[in-house]
Amino acid sequence: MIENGKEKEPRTLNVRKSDLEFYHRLLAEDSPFNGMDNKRIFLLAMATGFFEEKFADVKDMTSFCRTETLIPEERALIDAIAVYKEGSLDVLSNPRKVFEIAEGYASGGIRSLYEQVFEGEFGTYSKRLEAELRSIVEKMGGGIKSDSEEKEEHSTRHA
Amino acid sequence: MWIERISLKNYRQYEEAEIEFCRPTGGRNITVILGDTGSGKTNLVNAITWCLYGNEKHLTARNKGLDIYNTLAAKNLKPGETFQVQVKIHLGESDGGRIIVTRSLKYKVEFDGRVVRIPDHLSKAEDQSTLEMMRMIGKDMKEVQDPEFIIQKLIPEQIEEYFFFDGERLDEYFKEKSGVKIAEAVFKISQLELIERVIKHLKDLKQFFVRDRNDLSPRIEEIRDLIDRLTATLTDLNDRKEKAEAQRDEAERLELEAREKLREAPVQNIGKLEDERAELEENIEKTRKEIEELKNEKIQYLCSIAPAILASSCIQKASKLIGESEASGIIPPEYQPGFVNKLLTTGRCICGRDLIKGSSEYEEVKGLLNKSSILASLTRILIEDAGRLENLRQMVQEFPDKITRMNSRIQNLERNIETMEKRKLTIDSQIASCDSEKIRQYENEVQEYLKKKEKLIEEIGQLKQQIQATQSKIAMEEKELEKELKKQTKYKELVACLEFCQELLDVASGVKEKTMEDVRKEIEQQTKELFFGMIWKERTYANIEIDEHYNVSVKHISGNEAIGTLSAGERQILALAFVSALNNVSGFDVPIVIDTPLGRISSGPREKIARSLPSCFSDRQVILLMTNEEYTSEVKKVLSEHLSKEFSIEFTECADGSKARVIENDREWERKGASYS
Repeated sequence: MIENGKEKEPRTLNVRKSDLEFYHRLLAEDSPFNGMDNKRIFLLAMATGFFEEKFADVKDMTSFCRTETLIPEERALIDAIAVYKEGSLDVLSNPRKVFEIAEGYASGGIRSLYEQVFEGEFGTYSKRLEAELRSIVEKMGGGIKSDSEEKEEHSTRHA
Repeated sequence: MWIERISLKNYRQYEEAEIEFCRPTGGRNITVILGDTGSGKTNLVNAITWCLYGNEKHLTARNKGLDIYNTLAAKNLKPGETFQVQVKIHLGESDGGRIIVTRSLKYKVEFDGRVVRIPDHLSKAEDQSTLEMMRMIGKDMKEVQDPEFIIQKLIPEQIEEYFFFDGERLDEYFKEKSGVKIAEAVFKISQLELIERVIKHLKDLKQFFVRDRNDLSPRIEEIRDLIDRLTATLTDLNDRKEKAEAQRDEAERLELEAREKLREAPVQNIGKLEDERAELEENIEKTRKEIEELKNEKIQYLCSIAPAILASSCIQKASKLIGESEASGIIPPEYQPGFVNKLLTTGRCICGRDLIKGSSEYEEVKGLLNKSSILASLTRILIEDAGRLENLRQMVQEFPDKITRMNSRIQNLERNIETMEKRKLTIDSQIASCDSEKIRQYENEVQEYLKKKEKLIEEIGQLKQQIQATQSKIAMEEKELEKELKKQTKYKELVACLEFCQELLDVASGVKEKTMEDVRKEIEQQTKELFFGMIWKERTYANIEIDEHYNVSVKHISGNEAIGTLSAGERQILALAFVSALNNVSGFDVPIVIDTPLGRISSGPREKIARSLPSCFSDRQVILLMTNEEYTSEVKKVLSEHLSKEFSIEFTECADGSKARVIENDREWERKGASYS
């Protein structure tokens, strides 16, 4: 999909047909995600896959949500995941590849997310999620270091 | 079809022999070839089967293991010289056509004197002999490309034993052959291989369809049953929920009624207390809702921030890479694409050189334009992303404080509920301890209905959950049903194929059984007729039957089974009758060659059998290979009116090998009406 010499951005984020059932179940009335939009679950599955280093092949896919619903920060997060996976900024000039990486992580993470929500103790998912997120932020020293903060810390260590 | 001529060259004891036969016409269908035991009668039958099939099917123990060539032929040859064994059969067809079948095998004399075979590597025969066939097509004799195929059509190898057979072994036929073997003979002669192959193919096909059907086998009924059960459960749950809701409404109405009575009671302060309690309950409910909303907000927040926190390492890495790219000057591009494009449009570089289309300078600047365009677009993305990633970084940083604030708001509200509930309990006990009996009764009613209502609300909540779970189960099963219904189309097609296959199988099996049954009855009838035409004890036996298992039975006039008591001669007659019947029923127009047909028959019945032989194989050429002991004057006499030619084999044996010649007998005596005595 090339347009004006530049790769055109895909219109949809896709999920594996075989995973569709998990997504629907996660949005059902008895789920803590009930009422949320498809994009939210996709991003959560993608981040879970990334965090657990689970990447699955993108085969036999079906569209799940429109890319236009992504807010700029979410789009930037998807870009960052692609850059991390490829180890280079060049991947950003290929939006199709960027989204395929996001879809690969979502496919890798959806089952784990499903298990965390439905196979843990009833009603404790939000508590466990909160505790886990707190622990990650604490390990980072309260948040993600900015480039300048990191450089400063680096020079302090070497002084 | 009839044998016109057989030519033998260097074949076993026949160094050079040629036998000319007559066409079987005018009832003269018998040819007799006389020879002593060991003179080469059986090898004439072998020559025929070798020529046709490349296989000597009637080898005697004496000849087994011996090479096929005549030893005298190789005797005078020098080393390196070759010779050929050849059998040529000229066949005449009823429509006037002719076929010449020639089989040959080359030999070479080695320097050490050994004689070795020179195989024909293209041969299909086991001994690698060469088969050739000429057939009359129109008025010319032309070479046939696939002689084996033509032979198979004219005289199938698998049933040759019913055309070229050993009379001496016939008598063992019903000793050796069980019903199964006779069934095999009937099967072969009925030429049912084709239909058998069809049946086998259909059975294989059926297996294939069955396997496929089992793989597909839709669970439609199973799923429909499950959906029905789930729907029934859902109806029941909904009914129970509706009932519980009605009960809850009723409990609420009664509770309110009791409260109203309480409020209007003529006891000091009670009304005021009841008003306060009602307000507290209202506030508790409101606060609970507020907590619920806050919890919802919290989960929404957790879900929105979770991706950034879980993927924080990549935010950090991407930010770092963008910073490095900027610092090292990779982005932004050195030249703005608009500026480079302008140079190309104006056709002049800033250094003053002309940029002519196609020139190396032009191509270089064009390359620069592409590079700077890509870098410019990447720069735009990176600059935008850098800002957004910074936002994400801040959001992650704010997370601990924000979530703590949310939690403390929830905790404050929960504490408020606790305080209000304490106050409510105090009021409850104040009202309950009132002096007035009426007031206590009203209060008890309030508490009773309140408890009932709360219990029902809990029950309704549980029922709702069960309803939701059942509904999503039904939805899942309906999807499954949809999948299975799609499979069903394929399944139905397969079932139709399977049914059709079974139908064909039934028809084919029916045809096979019917044909075999018809053939069996026909053979039974002909065997009976031929047997009673030949047997000399006509009044001893009453009937011959071949049952459905192809067991042949000879009934004695007493009604007892007599097959086990038949003499060797009687058994031979039975076998001859049976083989003749098989032959006639087969429909193959093939000459009959019988080696020693009367060898085991005592002198009395010989004449009777000999008389019947021509009619056994009416109109067909019958070649009888007989010894002089068999060919008695009585036999000669009864055969004479059917005799077309008579030959003798002259056999001589010397130190280097043996030699046989076939000479046509002078039948002058017959023409002169000589006596047979």
